[in-house]
Amino acid sequence: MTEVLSPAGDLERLKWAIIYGADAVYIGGYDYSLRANANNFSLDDIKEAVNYAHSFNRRVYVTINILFHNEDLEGLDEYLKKLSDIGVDAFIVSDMAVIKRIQEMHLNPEIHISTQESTVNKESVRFFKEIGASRVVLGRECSREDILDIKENVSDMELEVFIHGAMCTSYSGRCVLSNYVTNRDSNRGGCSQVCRFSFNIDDKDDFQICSKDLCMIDYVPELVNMDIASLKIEGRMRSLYYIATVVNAYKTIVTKCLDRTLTDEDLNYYRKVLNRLSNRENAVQFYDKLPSVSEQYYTGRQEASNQDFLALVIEDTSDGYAIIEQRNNFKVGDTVEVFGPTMSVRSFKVLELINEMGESVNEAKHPQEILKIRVPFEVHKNDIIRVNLIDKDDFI
Amino acid sequence: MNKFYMIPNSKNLDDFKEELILPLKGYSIGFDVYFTSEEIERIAQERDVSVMINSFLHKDRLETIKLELEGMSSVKFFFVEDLGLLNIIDRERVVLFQNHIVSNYSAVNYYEGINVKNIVISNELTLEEIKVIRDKSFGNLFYFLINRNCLMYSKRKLISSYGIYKGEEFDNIKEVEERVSKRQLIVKEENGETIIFDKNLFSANGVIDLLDGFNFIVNFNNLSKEEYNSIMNHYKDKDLGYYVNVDDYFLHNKIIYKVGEEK
Repeated sequence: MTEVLSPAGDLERLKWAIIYGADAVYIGGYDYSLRANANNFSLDDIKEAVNYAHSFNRRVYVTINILFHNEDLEGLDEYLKKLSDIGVDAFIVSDMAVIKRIQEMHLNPEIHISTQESTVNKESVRFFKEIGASRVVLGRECSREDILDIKENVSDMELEVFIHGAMCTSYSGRCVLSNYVTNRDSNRGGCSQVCRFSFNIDDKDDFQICSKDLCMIDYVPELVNMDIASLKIEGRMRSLYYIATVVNAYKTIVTKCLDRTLTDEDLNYYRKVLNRLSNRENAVQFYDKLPSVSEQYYTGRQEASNQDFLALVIEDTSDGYAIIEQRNNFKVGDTVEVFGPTMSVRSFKVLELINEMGESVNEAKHPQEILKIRVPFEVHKNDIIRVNLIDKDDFI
Repeated sequence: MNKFYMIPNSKNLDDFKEELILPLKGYSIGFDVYFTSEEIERIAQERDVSVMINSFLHKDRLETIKLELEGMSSVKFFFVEDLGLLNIIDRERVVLFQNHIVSNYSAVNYYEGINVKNIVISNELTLEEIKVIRDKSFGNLFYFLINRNCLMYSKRKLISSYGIYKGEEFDNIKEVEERVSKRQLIVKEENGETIIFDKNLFSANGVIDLLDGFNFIVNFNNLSKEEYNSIMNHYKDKDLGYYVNVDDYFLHNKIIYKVGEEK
């Protein structure tokens, strides 16, 4: 059974990821996590996150994937013990010092090997199995043939494959450009993403080494057929809307793969949703071929502001009306679409909006304004209203 | 006492008086010269030789390297980046060289416990961190004493793809400068992969008397002729920096862990 694994930079994002179908969520604490600039979780937050996820029968993995310097070892035992007592399901680790302590302390959470180890072959996976890991997050440089070879030869090891989000230009863990150019430690959570900077070359031009984002939607059916344990989405610092949309798209596709109802129309639709959402170009990267000129940016990342998220449903439909919280402008007469954890995408024309004073209004224009909206079908709390994508052809 | 190893930049090995580390052709990256397994075995029958295998080994290379390894029975050590080789090569003969990775004494001791006793520690450590690792670990430690540090290793063709984009042909090596910091870097593409070096030449010679007990690696690759000559004549000297511009910033300055620590 293939899980969809979502990132979450804080408790609110975790809850949205779970509501929108993530089978598991990975998070970072205040320390020892490679996304030091995400809000991250206190131990109390982690406890709440685990309780919340487990109440839905979902799992929580905690990243402890920095490369430790001597000074970082202080306090590690206590932190690991507390996380184990809280009941997190797995530690995502890359430093052998952490594996050493997990094993010496006989802690319960599984050991997942971080992509920081850049594991790309069956012998490396075997090595990690022999030292007690239950899962390896494969390097993003793995091709289809690499993954198949590993799966066929180490079949009893869980494999986790990145399917969506930003890419390192480098093999993970093998880049210290941030250390040298900005004095921030890339392998201890401080990566300043120098790969997105501009460089002078030949005194006349800009040279960039930034990779386009990863999008593996077309290959999810193959990965599900390979029985890959986990499909991973990148982006612990992404927005609620991004997480809900991406998780919903991939969970829908995985579910349809498993019950054999996936159609080309499904893939086409969700490909458009994901392309539009990301605001920047994406590519398959290493799975189907070696990246070349088309998988890189050379003039900076063209990013467009995304104002697709129109409103959040905060109360279920009652007598044909739902209560919503505005996120971006829309007005009476617009055709919008709604999707949610328990419903497929449906579109409708906005016929009526009522403000908190009970007045009919033509436009939802105030940020986070609470409004009543007439809807022609049942919608539920946490459903999302967005611009109508089905008929749009102006995808980025 | 320190033992010295040299990575030569040419096949004329007479000038390199210390034990050699020879980059294996097709399985290593970032060097000026590579050696076939046949060449290495022949040299190894006459003097102490180790082999550098610092590429990641995807399926194809993992399959073919086993044959290469069989032909190098006289080699002393194999310096390996890919952990998969720990299951293929006798661990007593492995020197684990995961670039940038091993940064604390506990990790060294973990590897020692699984019979990987020879470890290259990261070059992005302070002198104090290095000394603590030495004092608290049981492994046989290696350290790049002089090196044009590799800052990034990518399985992407960063130069030739840029050339296609610009409609121009470029050499496989380029000097670039980050526009804000003015940090100068050297980008080099080899066999479909790319590495980026710091333009500054790293040397820990200034504190060499404080690093007793290490196996020192002196890398002669990616140097100018002047740098090469100075290093060849003074690689054991504390005052190497008198003869050639070297940079040991990270030995004396902690790197910021989190952005918040800048405040």
